Amino acid sequence: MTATSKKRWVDYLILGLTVFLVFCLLFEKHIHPPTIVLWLGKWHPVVLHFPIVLVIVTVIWHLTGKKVPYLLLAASCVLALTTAITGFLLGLENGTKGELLFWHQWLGVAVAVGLVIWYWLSSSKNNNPIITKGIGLILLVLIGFTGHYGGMITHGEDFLALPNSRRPEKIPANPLIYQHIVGRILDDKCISCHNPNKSKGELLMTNLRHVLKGGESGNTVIPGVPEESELIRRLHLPLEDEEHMPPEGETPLSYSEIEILERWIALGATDSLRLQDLDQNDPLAVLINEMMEPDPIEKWNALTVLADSTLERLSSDYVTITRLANTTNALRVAMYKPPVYDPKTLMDLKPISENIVELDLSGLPIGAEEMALVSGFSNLEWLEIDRTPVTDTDIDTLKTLSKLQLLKIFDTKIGDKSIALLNNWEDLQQLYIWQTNISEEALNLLKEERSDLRISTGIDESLRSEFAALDSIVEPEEK
Amino acid sequence: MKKDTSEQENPLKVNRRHFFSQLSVGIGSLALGSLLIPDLFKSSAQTLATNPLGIPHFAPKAKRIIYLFQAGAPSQLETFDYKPTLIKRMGEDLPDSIRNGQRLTGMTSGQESFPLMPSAAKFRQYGNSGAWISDFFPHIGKIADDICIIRSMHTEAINHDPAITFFQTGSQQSGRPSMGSWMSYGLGSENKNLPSFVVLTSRGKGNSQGLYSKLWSSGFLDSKHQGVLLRAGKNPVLYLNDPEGISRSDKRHLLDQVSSLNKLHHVETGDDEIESRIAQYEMAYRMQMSVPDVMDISKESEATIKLYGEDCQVPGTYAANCLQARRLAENGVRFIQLYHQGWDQHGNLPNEMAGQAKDVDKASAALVLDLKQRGMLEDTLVIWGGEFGRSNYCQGKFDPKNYGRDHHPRAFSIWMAGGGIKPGITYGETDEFGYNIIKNPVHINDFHATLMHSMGLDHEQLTYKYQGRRFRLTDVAGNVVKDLLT
Amino acid sequence: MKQKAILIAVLLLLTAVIYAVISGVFDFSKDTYTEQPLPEVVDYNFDIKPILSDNCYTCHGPDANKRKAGLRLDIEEMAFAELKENPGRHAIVTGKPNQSVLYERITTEDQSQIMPPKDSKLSLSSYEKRLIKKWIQQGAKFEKHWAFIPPQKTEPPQTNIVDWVQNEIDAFVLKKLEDNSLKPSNKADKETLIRRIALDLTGLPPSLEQMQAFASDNSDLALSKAIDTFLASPAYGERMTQIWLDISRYADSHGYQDDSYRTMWPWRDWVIHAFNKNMPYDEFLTWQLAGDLLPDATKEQILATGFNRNHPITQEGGVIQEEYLSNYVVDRTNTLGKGILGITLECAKCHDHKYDPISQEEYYGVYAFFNNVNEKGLQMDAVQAANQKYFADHPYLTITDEETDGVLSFINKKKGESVNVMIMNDSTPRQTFLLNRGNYDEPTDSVDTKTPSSIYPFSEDLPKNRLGLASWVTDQNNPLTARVFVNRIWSMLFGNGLVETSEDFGVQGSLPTHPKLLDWLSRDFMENQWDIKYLLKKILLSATYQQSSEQNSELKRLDPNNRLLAKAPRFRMSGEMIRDYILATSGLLHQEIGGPSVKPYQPPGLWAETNAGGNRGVLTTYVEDEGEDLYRRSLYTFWKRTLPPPSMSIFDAPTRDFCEVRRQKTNTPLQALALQNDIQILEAARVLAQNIVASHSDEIPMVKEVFQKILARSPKPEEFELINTYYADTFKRYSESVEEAQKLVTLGNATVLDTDPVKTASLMLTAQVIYNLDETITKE
Repeated sequence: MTATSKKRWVDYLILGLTVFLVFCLLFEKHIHPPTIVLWLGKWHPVVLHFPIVLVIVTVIWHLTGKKVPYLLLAASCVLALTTAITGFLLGLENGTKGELLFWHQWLGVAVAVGLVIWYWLSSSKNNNPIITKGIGLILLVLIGFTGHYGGMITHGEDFLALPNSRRPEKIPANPLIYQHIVGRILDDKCISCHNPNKSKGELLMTNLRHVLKGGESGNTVIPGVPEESELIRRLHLPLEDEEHMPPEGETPLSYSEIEILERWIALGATDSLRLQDLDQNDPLAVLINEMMEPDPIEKWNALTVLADSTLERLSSDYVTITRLANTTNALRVAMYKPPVYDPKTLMDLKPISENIVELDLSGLPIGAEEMALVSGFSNLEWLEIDRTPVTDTDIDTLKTLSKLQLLKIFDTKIGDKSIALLNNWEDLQQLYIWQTNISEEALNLLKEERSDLRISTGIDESLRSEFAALDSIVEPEEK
Repeated sequence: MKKDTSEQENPLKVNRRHFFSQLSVGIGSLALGSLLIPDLFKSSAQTLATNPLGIPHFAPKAKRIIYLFQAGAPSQLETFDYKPTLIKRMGEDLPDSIRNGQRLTGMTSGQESFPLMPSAAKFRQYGNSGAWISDFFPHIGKIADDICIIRSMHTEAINHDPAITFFQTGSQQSGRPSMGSWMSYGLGSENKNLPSFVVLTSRGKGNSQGLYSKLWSSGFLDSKHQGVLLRAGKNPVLYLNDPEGISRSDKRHLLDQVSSLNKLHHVETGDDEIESRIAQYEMAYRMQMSVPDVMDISKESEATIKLYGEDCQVPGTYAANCLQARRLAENGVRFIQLYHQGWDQHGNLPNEMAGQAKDVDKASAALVLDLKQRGMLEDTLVIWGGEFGRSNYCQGKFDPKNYGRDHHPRAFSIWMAGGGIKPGITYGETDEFGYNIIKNPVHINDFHATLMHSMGLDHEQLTYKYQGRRFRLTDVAGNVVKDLLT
Repeated sequence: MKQKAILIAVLLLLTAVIYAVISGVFDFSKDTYTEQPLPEVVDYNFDIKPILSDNCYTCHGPDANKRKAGLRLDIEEMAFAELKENPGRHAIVTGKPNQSVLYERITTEDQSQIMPPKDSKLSLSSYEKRLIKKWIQQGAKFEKHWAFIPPQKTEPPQTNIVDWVQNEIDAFVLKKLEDNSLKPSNKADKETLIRRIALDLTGLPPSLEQMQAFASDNSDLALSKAIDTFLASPAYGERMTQIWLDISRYADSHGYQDDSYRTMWPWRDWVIHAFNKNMPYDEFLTWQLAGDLLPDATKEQILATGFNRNHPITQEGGVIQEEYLSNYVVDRTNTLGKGILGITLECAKCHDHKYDPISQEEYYGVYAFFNNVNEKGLQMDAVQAANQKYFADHPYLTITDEETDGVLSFINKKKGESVNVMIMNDSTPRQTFLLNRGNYDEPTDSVDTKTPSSIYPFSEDLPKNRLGLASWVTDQNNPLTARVFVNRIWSMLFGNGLVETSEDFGVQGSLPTHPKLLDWLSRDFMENQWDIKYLLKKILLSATYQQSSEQNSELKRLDPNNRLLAKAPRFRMSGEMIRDYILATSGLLHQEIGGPSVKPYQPPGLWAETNAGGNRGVLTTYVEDEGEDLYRRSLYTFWKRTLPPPSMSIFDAPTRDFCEVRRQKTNTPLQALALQNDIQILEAARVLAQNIVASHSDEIPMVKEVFQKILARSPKPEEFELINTYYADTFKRYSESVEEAQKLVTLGNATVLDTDPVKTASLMLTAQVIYNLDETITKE
C-alpha cells in the first residue's frame, strides 16, 4: 500500500464518519438504536480526551507556522468525529436534553465539523493558511466550552433534569384569596371579555373595585349574599341558557371554581382575606388546598416524547405498555406470565427506561438480571414485584430508584437485609411486605424510623380468625 | 509501485474510481445511520395516536372495576339505611305528604293501606367512621372504614328489567352498550390474553329475577367489547376446551396448518382480513391456556380460603366468584361484573335476607380485605348494590317476623371501595322514613359519570356515533360526584 | 470539484428522501384537506348538508327547544332571514360569503366567536369551509333532502370502456370508476361465481350436480339458468326469511324477565312461503302491516300481521301495563321507521327530531295507527302461562288442522295440535296523545293519525288506519320504501348498502355512493311490480356483481373500503350461514321447511345459570332435540331473547329485542374457539370424514374430496401438498394412539359408521382444518 492509497482510505473514513454524524443529528428524534449500539456511547468519556489533546497540539503547531503533519491532522479529525458520535449515542440514553447537554452536543459537533473542514482544505490543492489558522483559533475556543459543559454535566447529574419552565407560577403558601385564587379564576375565564378594551355588558373584572361596581345589571357581586349576586346566578344557569356565563364556546368554570367564588362572596368578597385566616375545614380552605396540589401529569412533562409506534413495537402478547394518560409520556408497563418466560421481552424496554413510571412484574420468575434493568428506570414511582423469587441481593440494586412511592413485595424471600434499602427510599409512601423473611423486630424498627410510611403487613390475625370463626348472622341478643 | 504508475497513466480512471468509492462510502454510512431508525419503512400512519379517542383523558385512580351486583334489589332498610323512626311508628300508614305521588308497582297498587315496617335486623355502628350497618352484615361491618356507603341513590324505573338495564347500560330500553363494554371500548384490555370484560353469575335461595345477556351486550359497539360470561366448571368460556382426543400439540399442529393455508390464500386474495383472522386464532390459542390458569384456585393459600369462606371452593357460588374476581383483577381484566340473584323480597323478607346476606356478606368483605392487603384497593374500584330500593311499608300481611317490601326507586343504598373513592364515609341522607332523599342525591347517571371519572374517562367525551347520534353511557345527563373522590 | 458537487448533491438527495419517508410524505392516509379539489358545482344535498347537519343542526336545526339565537339552518327561508341577534345581518347572503355571518363565524380567529363552539368538540376542516364558501358564491341553493325526493330513472351514463358493461347497473358503476381513474376487476372464475350465487340466493353452498351442470354449460345463458334454479329452490325463501327475521325482531320467547315461550313460528312459516312464491314487496308489506283490514281478509292475510306483534312483551309481576302497552306501540312505530322506511323515527319520540324534519306530533301520528289493538299485555306470569299453555297474548289467531289442510297449508304443524299466533286488529280504537318526553304517564295534546308530511303527504282519500298507512308506504311516489329495500338487497349481496347506513336514510345517515344507480334500481323495481326475484336477477347478471373479489395494492390504497366497487366484496358469512354451510357440506343438513323452532346443540347449562328458578316458565333449561332436528337450518334454531343461541351471537347476531337491519362483521377469538370446538362442527367434520372413508379405498383422493366438498373447488397443488402431509402426519400420530382416535370418531349424536378410526380421525381433523379456513366462512 502506498501513501496515496492509505490517504485515500483515511479520506473515506472521515467522509463516512462525517456523513454518519450529520445523519444522526438530522434524525435524532427518530433514532432508537439497539442496546449494543447505545453501549458504544459509554466510551465517549474515554475517547474524548484524545481529540482535546491532539487538537490543541495541532492548532498550536499550525499557529507556529509549521506545516501540520498529515497524520496528526487526520488522527485528531477522526478522533473528534468518533468522540462526537459516541457522545451523541450517550446523549440518546438520557432522553431529555437539558440545556447543558444541548450546548455540549452542538459545540462538540462544531469542533468535529471544524476539523473536517480544515482536513479537506488542507488536502485540496489551493489551501490558504490564513483560513486554517482562523479555524484553528475558533476550534480552541470551542473545545474550551465543550469541555466546560461536558464537565458540568458529568459532575452534576441533577442539572439535567432541569424542570421545564412551562409550569404556571405557583400559588404562594399562604395565598391572598382574592389576588391569588379568585383573581386567577377571573383572569382565566372572564377577563377575555370583561376588560377595558372589550367590556361586555359594561362589566370590568380587571380588579376588585370594578367587580364590586358591577355592570349593566349592577348587582354583579353582592358581598355576603352570593345567592343574590348576578355573577353566581349566571354561573349556575344551564350551559345551553343564553344568559349562562361564560358564553357558549368559552370553557365554563369547574364546580370547585364556582364554589370558591360563591364562598368568597359569602365571606364578604374582600381582598385582604388569606388562606390561613380560614378554619382549615372551611369549604373554601379545602377547595383552595385542592387547587394548590399540582396536576400529577405536570411532573411528567419533562419525559422524552415517545411515538405510539414505539410502544406498539415494544409491547407483546404478554407485555402491555400504556400511557398513564393520553397527554403524557409516562408509562405503565405490566407483564403477565407467559407459558415460557424469557427475560429478553423485558430487556427490550431499556430504550424507554426513563418513561416507565409504573411497573407490574408480580408473579413472574424474575431475578438479579431483571432487577438490574429496573434499577435503570429512574422515574419509577410504582413497583409490583410481589410473589416473585427476588432476594435481598437482587433488589439491592434498586436503591437508585429515588422516586419510588409504592412498592409491593409481599410473598417473597426478602429478609432483614433489605430493611436499610426500604428505609432509604425517602419518597416511599406505601409498602406491602407481608409473608417475607423480615423479622418482627426489623419491621418495628422500620415502622419507628418511618412513621410517614404506610406499611401493610397483611390482614391482621385477629381479624382473620374472626372471619374464619364468625358466621354471617349475628344472633340478636336477648332483651 | 505498479499500481501507482498505472494511476499516473490514467488519472481520469482513478478519479472516477475514487469518486465512486467516495460515493459508496457516503451512501454506506447513510444506510448505516438509517438502520438506527426502526420506524423508517413502516407507514407513518402508525405514529398516529393508537387511541383515536385520546384516552384516558387524565391519569386514572382506578384501573379496573369489580361490580358486585345484587340482582333483585336488596332493601336499603335492612342493610345500610338505619331508620329508628320506623320502629317508633311501626304499623302507622305512610303519610301521603311523604309518598307524594310516587307511582306504585302493580303488586301494591291494590293495597288499601301502607303500614310502615321497621327492619327485622338490628343496626350497630362500626369502625371510626361509625357507619350504621345492619346485623345481617357483620363482616361488611368490619370493613366499614374501607368503604364509602351511599344512601342517596335514586332511579326512575320501578320494575326489575328496566331498572337493571338502566344500571348496566344507562338506558331503560334495551340496545345500549353496557358499562363494561364502554370501559373496554375506551380503555382496551390490559392483558391481551384475557377478555377485558367478564361476567360471573351466582344465585341465592331468595326470590330471584332472571338475568339477560343484553346486560353485558356491547350494543352498537364492536362486539369484541361484549362481556364474556365466565362459567363455573371445566368449560369457563364457551367452546374453550378442545375435545378429548386432541392434545395441545395436536391443536398447535392443526392451527399451524390452518394458518399456512390461510397465508397462501392471503397472498392470492390480498385481503388483510385473513391476517387478522390468523391473529385471532393465535389469541384464542393463548386464551385456552390463560383462562384455565386464572380460574384455577388450587394454589390459593389456606388462609385465603378461610377468609372468603369454605364456599369459595364450590364453583359457581358467590364466594367462589369473589375469589375469581380478585384473580381476574390481578391478571388485568378491566371490568369484572358479578351478579348474585335472589334479592327480590316481596315476602318472607327477614328469612330470605338472612340467607342472601349469608351468601354475600363474608365473601364481599373478604374481597375488599384481600385486595387491600395486596395493595390492589389502590387501583381497583369495588361496587356493591342492587338496581333499586324497597318500600318502607309492608307488602302483604303485616307481620314483623315475616313481611315483604315492594320496589322503591326514590332512595336506596350501595357501597363502593378503593379506586379513588373516599374510604370510611357515609354519603347522602334520606328522610326519617327512609323514603325520600333529603341530602346529596346521586342519580344513576351521576354514578356512571363518577365511575368513569375514576377510570380516567370524561363521561362527556367518551362518545360513539351511531344512527347519526353521538351516544354516551350517561346519555345527556350526569355529574361527577366530586365529594366521593379522594 | 464537479465530483465533490455531485457527491454532496447525491448525499443530500438521499437524506432528503429518508427524511420524506419519515415525515410521511409517502403516507397517503394523512389529511389532504387542503389539496382536496372542490367539485365543479357544489351540491347542497351531497356536499353542504352533511356538514351543516353534523356540525350545526344540534343548535340551529329542527328541534325548537334546543335552538340557539333563533337561527335555523335546515330550512331555506329561516337560513336567509335576518338574524334576531344582530339586526341587518344575515347568516347567508346569496353569492357573498364575506357578508354571510355563517361564513364569518366558521372562519373567525376569535375563539369566543368561532362556530361550532369549542365546547361542542366539533370543528370544520379547511375543505369544508372552502366548500361552504363556494356554495354561497354559487347562490347557496337549498334542496329537499335527497332521500325525500322520489327516485327518478336517469339514462345510464356513457362510459369509455364499453365491452365490460353487461347491464344498466354496470354503466353507473363504471362511470364512477372512470371518474376516479380506476378499472373494474376481471370476471370471477366459474367455481367462485357459482359458490357466490348459491350462497347469496340460498344461503347454502352449491350442490355437486349444480356445480357440474354450471361448469359444463358454456352457453351465454349458463349463468341466467343457474340463477333461476337457485331462485326456484325452496332454500331461497329460507335465505330471504333469515334476513327478514332480524328486521321483524322475530323470536320464540317474550323477552324481559322470565322470558317465557311464545308461538310466533307459523308467522315465520308464512314469510318463507311469501318469499318462495315471490310475493311482490308492496303486497308483502301491505299484508304484514294491515292484512286484517283488507276487504274480507283471508286467514293468511291476518296471519301476516303477526309482524307487528313480534316485539317483546313483559311478563314481570307488578308492572304497570299502560307503561308497557305504550312501549309495544312505540316498538311497532320504530320498526316501521327503521326496518321499512329507513328513518330514525324513534328520535322524534321524546322531542322533535333533531336532524330530520319529523315533529314529535308526527311521531305520535304514526303511533296512532298501531294504537287500536285490543291487547292487554300478558295477563299471566311465566309460571301460570306454562301451566295453562298460554303462549300468545290477545288478539291471536288459532290455527288448527282445518287451516293447515286449507288456506294455511304452508304451515308445518303436527296433526291434531292447534297453535295460537298473535296478530293485529283495530277492535279497540284509542285516542292517542302526544306523550311529554315520551313518558306514558304524561299525555298532552290529542293526536290524530298522520305520517311525516315532509317525506310524502298522506293523501286525503286514504283511510285513516293501518291499511291507509300501508298504501302510503307502498305508494309509487313514497321516496323511501323502494330505495330502502333495494339498498338492503344490495347490502345482502355486497356486504355494504349503496347507502351504508341502511337503517338511516335521514340527514344524519350516510349518503349513497351511487345515488343515480340506487334511484334507477328503485324505480325499475317498482316498474316491475316490486318483483324481488327480478331485482335479484338484475343485480346478479351485472358485470359489477360478477367481478373477482381479489384485492390489489393499488385498490387497497385508493379505495380501501371498496365503496367504488372496482372489485367484488369479500366478507365473512353470518353465523347462520356458517352453520348451514357446514351442515350442508358435511351432508348432515336436514332440509325440512318450517315448523316449531328446534333446539340444536348448545353448551349445557346456559339457560339454567341465568333463569330465575327452574319453575319459572317453560324456558328455564335448554333441552336439546334429537335426530334430524339437530341438523335443521339455523333460521329454525330456537330464539330465546334473553339468551340467544351463543353460536349465533358470537358471530354478531342481534338479540332480536328490537328491529335490527345491519349486522357487524367482527373477527374475534371467541369465533375462532367456536369454529374449533363447537360440537356441531366437530361432528360435521367427523361425519364427512366417516362417509368418505367408508366409500373410498385409497387415501390421496380422500383428502382431495374433503377439500372439494367443503370449499366447492379443487385444491391448488401447494394446498394439496399441505393438507396431504397434514393428513399423513396426523395419521401417523393417531396410529400410535388409537384410543384417542376412537374418542374423536364417536363425537356427536349422528350414527357412527364402522370405519377405521385412525383414518377417520385423521381425515376428520383434515376436514376440521378446512372448516377453520378463512375462505370457508367467507363469501368470495
